[in-house]
Amino acid sequence: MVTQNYSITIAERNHQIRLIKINMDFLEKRIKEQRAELDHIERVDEGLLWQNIQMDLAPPIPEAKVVQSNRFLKMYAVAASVALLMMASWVFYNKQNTVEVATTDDPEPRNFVPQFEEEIGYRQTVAETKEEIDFKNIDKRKYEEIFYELEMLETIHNEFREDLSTMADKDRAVNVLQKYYERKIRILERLSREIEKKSQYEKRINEKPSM
Amino acid sequence: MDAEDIIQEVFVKVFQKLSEFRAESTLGAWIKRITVNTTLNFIRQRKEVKFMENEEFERTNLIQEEHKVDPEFSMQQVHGAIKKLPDGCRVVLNLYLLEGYQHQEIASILKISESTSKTQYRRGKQLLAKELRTLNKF
Repeated sequence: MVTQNYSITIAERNHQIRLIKINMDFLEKRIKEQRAELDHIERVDEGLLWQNIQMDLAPPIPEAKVVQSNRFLKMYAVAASVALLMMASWVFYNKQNTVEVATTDDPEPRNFVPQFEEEIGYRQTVAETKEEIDFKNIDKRKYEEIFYELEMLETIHNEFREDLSTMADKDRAVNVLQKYYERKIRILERLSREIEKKSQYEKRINEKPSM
Repeated sequence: MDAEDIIQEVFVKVFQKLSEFRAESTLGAWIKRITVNTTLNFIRQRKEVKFMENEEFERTNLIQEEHKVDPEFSMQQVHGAIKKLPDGCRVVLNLYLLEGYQHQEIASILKISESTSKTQYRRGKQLLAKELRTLNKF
């Protein structure tokens, strides 16, 4: 019997390997097709999970300190309260003034935008990248995820533009605008890479000789 | 329980590091990468993940065994069978078959060679088939 086991011919062995491959491919295919089912096999207590996440994210609550009451401490507390009140009034007054200045200086976003000199360069890069990939004629369904990201970015950006007129901190606003353009260019570059990848793949498929 | 702990850790990391996210990949891919890294760290902290060397694998080759897969297996059984796989095979099989990573990416994530990743995957599939066959016998 033992001799028989080892006297397997190459043809039989190859046949065995082919059978194993067919079975393995079948197993792989079935699992891939029904992959989503695996996500629902182990139930998770979502409520508890979120509660724990929130606890992890919450800032630590400082421990209450036992404070000995004394006359100096009381006086210090009163003085601190007065100082705090004065500071709050000062901040409030200044804020009112700043908003007024901001709104009178730059009532419209378009008056503000030209101050951001690099914007012309950014716009040009965006336009060039779009032209390179023939942006207008791309089938959006093929790159749904990327277009969704672009759409989200535009929505957030438009909301920001609307708020520009009330922003007092110009440097911060410019910084946000720069980040917007940088992110947009990165997304467009990723889209370009995806298009290239897809076209290479399709080319390879078409080049394959038909059996 | 382990999985819930990992999900919790991943979410906290995502929230805390959201400002570091650069749109070089999709948000989903970024979160997926954090999840994979957190999971691997978790496994490594618990015990060392061993990847059988290719020669060792060849010695314990299951090629002589019957690999007929019962077409009636359920995903519940697949889930149970995957859990029984040795760590090395399981990690590679999960990343390749369930998460869609390529062997090159898996090699880079796990710091192993591409051929080791392929060998582990092949062995994982064979063990999975064997386990499913055993389950269906009863």
